[in-house]
Amino acid sequence: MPREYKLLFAGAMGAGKTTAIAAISDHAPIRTEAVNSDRVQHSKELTTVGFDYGEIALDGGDRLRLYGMPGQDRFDFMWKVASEGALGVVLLADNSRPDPLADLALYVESFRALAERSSMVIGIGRAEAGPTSLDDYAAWLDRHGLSVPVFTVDVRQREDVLLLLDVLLNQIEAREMLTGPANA
Amino acid sequence: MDGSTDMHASAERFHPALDALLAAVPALTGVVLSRSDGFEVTSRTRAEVPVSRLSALSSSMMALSQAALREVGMSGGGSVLVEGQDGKLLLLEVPLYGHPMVLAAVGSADIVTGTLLWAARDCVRQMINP
Repeated sequence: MPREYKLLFAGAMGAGKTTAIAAISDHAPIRTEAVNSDRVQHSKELTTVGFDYGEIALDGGDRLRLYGMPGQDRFDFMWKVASEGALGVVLLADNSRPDPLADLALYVESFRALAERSSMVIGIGRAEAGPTSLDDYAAWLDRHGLSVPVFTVDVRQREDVLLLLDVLLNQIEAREMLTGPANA
Repeated sequence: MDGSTDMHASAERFHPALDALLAAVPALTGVVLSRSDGFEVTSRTRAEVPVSRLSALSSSMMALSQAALREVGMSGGGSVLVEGQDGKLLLLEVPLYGHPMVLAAVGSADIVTGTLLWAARDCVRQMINP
């Protein structure tokens, strides 16, 4: 029987969540953007304030439902609402930010319960733009007691984003082999 | 410069319209004006209202309502009415050129919805064309 997988994209403002969903969705994503008045935080013109929504139909009839979360923590109510029934989360980090690990900490903790009951994967964008290495991310996650796959990605590239989802789905399948379907 | 200083410095210019709305609908607990990306601009309250949280929620709900309208082929400029057992929350778009905002009005359950809508829309008109 075909399944639907509800998956989240989260991470700091400007990390590329909207771009990532647009790169892979079968249809033009639903967007809920507003004019960004916080140009100190990020220079982009628009920012997500509700959620982005895209879909991917898989062979066999399965469907991925993709929800992009707003980045600023004043929208953390949306993170909690969207986590209900979700099977996994893709965390995106922006390595060009002054302290990308501190940025990541907020989202790792906010989505930790989802990671522990199901799955999480981390994509590092603009990897060459900052000194924090992939090993630094892995060591940081290890220190925080998390075993989460980390990849460098360009979220504008469909293959890169699909790689993250592939890893997420493999985690979900592996966990369900042990515990049974989480959201059948 | 992000414009926030300008906006906060001029927030008081919206007070007459917001005060008029409170006066027109005595059962209102408070009114909150927010930027469309969820930052508080100003508020006028008679009792405690979680202003910053309501600002963020207002922008999300308004953006989601506009996305829903787009999906069914309708244009924006909408409103959102949430009715609970204990009260009502009305959100209205404030299409101020260059500074789109959301007006949130919170009040008791016995507010007549039509009265609230009329008064809130009049408030928006006053803010756009003072």
